[in-house]
Amino acid sequence: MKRFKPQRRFWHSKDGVRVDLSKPEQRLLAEVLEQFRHLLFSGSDPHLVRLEPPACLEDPFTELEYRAMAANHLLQCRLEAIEIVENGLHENILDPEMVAAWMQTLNGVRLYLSEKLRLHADKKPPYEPTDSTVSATSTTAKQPQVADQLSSSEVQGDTIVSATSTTAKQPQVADQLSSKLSLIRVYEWLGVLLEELVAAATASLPDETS
Amino acid sequence: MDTGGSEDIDGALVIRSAVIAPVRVPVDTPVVEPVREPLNKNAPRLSRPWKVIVWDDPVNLMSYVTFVFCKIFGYSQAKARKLMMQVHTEGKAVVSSGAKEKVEHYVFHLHAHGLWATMEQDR
Repeated sequence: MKRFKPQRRFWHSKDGVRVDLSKPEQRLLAEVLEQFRHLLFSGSDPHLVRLEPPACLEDPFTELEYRAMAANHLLQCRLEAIEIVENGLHENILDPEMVAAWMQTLNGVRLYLSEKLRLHADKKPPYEPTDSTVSATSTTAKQPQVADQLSSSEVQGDTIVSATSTTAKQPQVADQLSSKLSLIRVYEWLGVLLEELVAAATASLPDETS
Repeated sequence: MDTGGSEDIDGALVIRSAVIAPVRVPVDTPVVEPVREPLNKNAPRLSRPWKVIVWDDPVNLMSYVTFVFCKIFGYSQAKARKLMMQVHTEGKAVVSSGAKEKVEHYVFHLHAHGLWATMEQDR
């Protein structure tokens, strides 16, 4: 009997991190990255807030100063990382710069999806400010509002479904569920990819660097 | 970790720092030795160091956070893992400290990697 052996997509070699994604995985990743790039460019999706956490909770001036300095630079870094991953989708060996870009990008999409799917909606950022001065400048302070809006719209949707014809709304609900399930699968798949990549990259780190 | 240092190049002293570009200082500039003073709670705010704090979050993988600490701060895997576990179990950990510019630089890189990081001045 043949033992089932899970496929490894990333592993450490003396030349760098080797990557072997199947063709369907390459196509899916390319599609996800294309959509993620559009989202970053538009900047209008409230779930992107997770990618820009506050930097200084105690000093609004430092926070504003940091935001002015970092916001565009962070966006630029993310877009460059996406480009590096896209250009290297068919490569077999990833150099350290490519490994860093792959990690940032896979993790960035996961963070966005976790926010969009509200996978951890019960867990607010631990540093969530209570001080009104800070919350005025903090980006995460917007999260509860966005979450409230989403949950209230969901509740309204449910009310409409139950008040009107249930059968007419069923396909819509089914579509939404199916779409959510697809996103959850993408989120989990990206997590597996990231875990394998980190394991391969960690193997190339010296044991004691300092 | 890069704590900065200095070296003599072409008759000029080049002071290196992790975040600031090398600055040329004429060799005849008198060198003033820094004087270590005991920690004073009443010290002017500007002179107090800043800390980088990483907060626990439910999305980032533990192995990923450990790897990011190794890459950004140059920590050993053992030290990075210890800090990651501190973040995981205690909710947060101070992962580095220093001048404001240096700390800002680290926070930026941690944000670029998707970690929940903030900076705070020592009290």
